Amino acid sequence: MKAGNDNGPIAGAILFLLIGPIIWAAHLLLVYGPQSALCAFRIAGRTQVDPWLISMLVAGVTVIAMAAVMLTLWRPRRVARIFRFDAAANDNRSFILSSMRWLGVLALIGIALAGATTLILDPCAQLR
Amino acid sequence: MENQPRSDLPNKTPRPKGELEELKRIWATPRGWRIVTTVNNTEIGLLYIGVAFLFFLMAGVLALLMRTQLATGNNDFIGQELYNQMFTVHGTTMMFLFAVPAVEALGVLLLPQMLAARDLPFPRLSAFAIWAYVIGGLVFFSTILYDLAPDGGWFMYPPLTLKEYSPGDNADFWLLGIGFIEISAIAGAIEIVVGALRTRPPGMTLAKMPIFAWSMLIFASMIMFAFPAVILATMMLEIERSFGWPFFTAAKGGDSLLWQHLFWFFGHPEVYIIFLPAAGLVSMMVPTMARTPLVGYRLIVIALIATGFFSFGLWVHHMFTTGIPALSLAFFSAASMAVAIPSGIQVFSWIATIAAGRKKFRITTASLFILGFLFIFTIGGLTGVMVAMVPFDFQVHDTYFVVAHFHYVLVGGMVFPLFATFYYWAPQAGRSMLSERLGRWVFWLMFSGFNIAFFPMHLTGLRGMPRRVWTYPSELGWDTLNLISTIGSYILGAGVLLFVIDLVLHFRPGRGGPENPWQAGTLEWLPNDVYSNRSIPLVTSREPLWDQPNLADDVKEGRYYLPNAPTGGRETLVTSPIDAKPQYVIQMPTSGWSPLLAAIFTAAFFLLLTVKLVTISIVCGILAIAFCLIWAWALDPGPSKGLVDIGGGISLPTYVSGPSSHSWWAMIVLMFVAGSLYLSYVFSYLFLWTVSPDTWAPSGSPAPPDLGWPAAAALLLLAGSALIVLTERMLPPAGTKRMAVPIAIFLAVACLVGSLGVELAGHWRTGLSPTANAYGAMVYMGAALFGQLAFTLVIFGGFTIARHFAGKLDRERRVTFDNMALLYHYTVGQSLFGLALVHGFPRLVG
Ligand code: HEM
Ligand SMILES: [Cu+2]
Repeated sequence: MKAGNDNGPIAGAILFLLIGPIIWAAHLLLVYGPQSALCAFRIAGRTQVDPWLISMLVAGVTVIAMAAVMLTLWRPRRVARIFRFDAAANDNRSFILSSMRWLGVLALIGIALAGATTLILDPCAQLR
Repeated sequence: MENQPRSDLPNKTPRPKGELEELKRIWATPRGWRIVTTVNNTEIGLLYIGVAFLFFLMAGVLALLMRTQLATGNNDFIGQELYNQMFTVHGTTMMFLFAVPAVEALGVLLLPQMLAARDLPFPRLSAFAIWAYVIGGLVFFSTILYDLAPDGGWFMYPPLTLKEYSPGDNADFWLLGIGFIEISAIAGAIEIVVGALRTRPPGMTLAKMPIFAWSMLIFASMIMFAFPAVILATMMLEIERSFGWPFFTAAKGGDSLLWQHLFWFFGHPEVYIIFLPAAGLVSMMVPTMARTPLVGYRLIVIALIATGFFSFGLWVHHMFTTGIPALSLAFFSAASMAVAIPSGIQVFSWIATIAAGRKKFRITTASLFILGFLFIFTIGGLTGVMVAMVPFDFQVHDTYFVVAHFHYVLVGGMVFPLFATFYYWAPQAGRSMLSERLGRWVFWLMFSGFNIAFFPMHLTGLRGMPRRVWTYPSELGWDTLNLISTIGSYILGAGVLLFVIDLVLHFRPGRGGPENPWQAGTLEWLPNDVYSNRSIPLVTSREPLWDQPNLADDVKEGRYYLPNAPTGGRETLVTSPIDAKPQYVIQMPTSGWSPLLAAIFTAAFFLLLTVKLVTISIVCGILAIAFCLIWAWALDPGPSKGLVDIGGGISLPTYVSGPSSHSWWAMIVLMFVAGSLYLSYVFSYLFLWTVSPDTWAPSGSPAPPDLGWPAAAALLLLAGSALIVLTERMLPPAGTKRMAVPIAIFLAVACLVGSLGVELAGHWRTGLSPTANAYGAMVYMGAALFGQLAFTLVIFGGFTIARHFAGKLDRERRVTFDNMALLYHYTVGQSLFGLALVHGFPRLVG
């Protein structure tokens, strides 16, 4: 017999649970990727990007990512609805909700720490 | 506690006569030498952990030999070349053949028991993975005896490992041997993900899952995403060594840093892949010894998930000294600090649990090892935060400080919990307990030996002694510290030896050990036999054995679910992934030769390829595929067994296809693995472009072929997908055949092969060669990845067609088809993306 699709709930639950860390990963990708590529080109003398622009890019992405995480912390139920997440058993629901919040807080710390470095460091300086 | 059978349990007792005997017969262990055909998790799990431990011993002997060489300056007990091979084989064996397999083995051995399942969902897959590992691993290790062992260090950095600098087959043994063992680890991971999510007992919702199951779930998910990166890297390095595609050669636009990125994208999570399951084991043992539920269950789950996830954002901290811009390093330094938070949470939870028990924390050998772990691991964590700071790392990079740090983390974080596990779970896997008296000696020898050996290395490192040196001049003042380290290693070795003696004296594999000797609360301590538990309990809390009095008895008497074997074969219960509601009864294969033979020939294929015996190797490869097909033929049993009653008025199907079947899930997991392999490729492509855009088309290489070529390839792919969708509609009613089905499958596979041909021909016509430069190598590598999937689908398609002609494929019995269709659509998706990248990107930037 061909049973119905219950991947919706589990995929939704995973995405919902991990939304904070996923934003953190996106943040890391979006600051590290462009920054290291642009610096590689600058160092090789291929482009003339203003280093200040790179710093702004990092800062901008960081602000957006932090705002996004805070939004998910503030309105988790709305996020749940987007992912069509709905756990039937009650202890599961509160379990996943609180785990999601904690993971979001950790992600927020991670994003803030990584982003803050741009305030201190010259974007393309090499340590050698 | 009342002892009468309760009327609200799913099944009535006494159970019908002969039921128990039937269970015993169905699950019986094969006798005599046929034991090698067994697939049951308790038996192959024991083999798995046993062999992993053997590798620990053998790599440990290498370590002692190395320490002997280093005991004094200017020593020449072991020469330089052998020393290089030794640390490479020691590190590689410890990481790939001991640490990861050992925890995976515990997953195979303990997970089903903790979930009260009869077995993992794919017993033959585990058997295959384990045999492949045993054979491949032993051959790999034995290379040290023939001077054939790799010597490039456990992370095998090019350019040192390129053909120019490492001629001979030594490096190839690493690349093919380890690449192959990673595939076996992935097979095990698929098993564990599906097992943890789908074979939990009714009532065990996610919020009630034992911590070890959580940690194994995260362990397996991490393997899914981390291992593909290093598999791609080993593929590329092997291709460069054999065929000269310059991925890592700077002169042709490659970059050896690409290897470092890919390796550490795997290598850092690897540390947590090893540590998280060990932490999960500690979280299971601590409550038992403290006689109170774990404090902060939720926090621990959160910490496990967070560590698992964030550990993927740390890899660059292994590359601090490679000239990457400081700001990039800072991102990863920050993440390295952040990941320390969840590890800290776990440590506090354990300490709180130890303190919270109303009765005293029981000091057993297992608890001693746990306390030792806390002590050693915390020190390792502290030095970890030190080396995560860029300026400090510049000072101690590649010195003995780092050797001390990672041994504190690895031995503290994994070996000590493992020994605790041995003492704690031995009565579960065997008939008797290990000796508590000897155990204390084992602990104190290992604990003191470890610290005496490794603590001084922090100092030798700070005094500037580099790692990976076979000897050093005596006048540098490193002698005394090194001698102390060597003495400590021998004390540690004595502890391990004593443990082996304890094992020989007291460990007896088999059933019927003391029942729940530690008065633990989790399901693996239910009474069990070859069939695992007599019936599958309904779980209402995290420590069912503490909270449900009489549970052991009711389970044993068969008052819970599925106390029999209604389909007449091996089976277990599949439940829904979040709420653990019973969904169906899965029919599982029994013992057989095919997994073993498939593993032998797969190993032979890879190993013979290493020594360039191409023809025999291909014959072995074909045999391996043949045995896989024989094995797969027996799967997909079809719906003939109808519905069965598992008790409590619940009737479940014995066959399910579609998105809720376990094989569909396995396919999805496999697609994630393939997807992350492909993402690593996309990363590599873009990375090499940033390094050497001057080799990229259209200026540095022939312009990509006219758009007509990729368009034709894409059309063929889409046509193939459409054919598969059509075929699904055309599947014949049960018990019949329809010629259109095999024809359509054949055409779909032909479309795929045609598309690959068009793609290759297009590039070839422009005069692009894979050996010319990094761009060419990357373009053809994309086609190679496509070709890999196409090859799989040629075989899979043929298999599906054969199923149809055998009358084993129709609208009802369709799991084989569904899986093939999933893989097909995935291949089309990946290849369309690949066409856009390879043909679009040069046009975009050119
Ligand atoms: C049992 C006690 C152990 C001792 C006495 C020991 C000793 C050593 C020694 C002497 C080296 C070589 C250092 C050098 O020359 O640079 C080394 C390297 C290493 N060890 Fe261990 N080790 C032990 C256990 C472990 C364990 C349990 C693991 C992992 C789970 C491990 C992983 C490694 C790794 C990855 C390397 C680096 C190899 C390389 O440089 O490529 N060791 N160990
Ligand atoms: Cu790391």
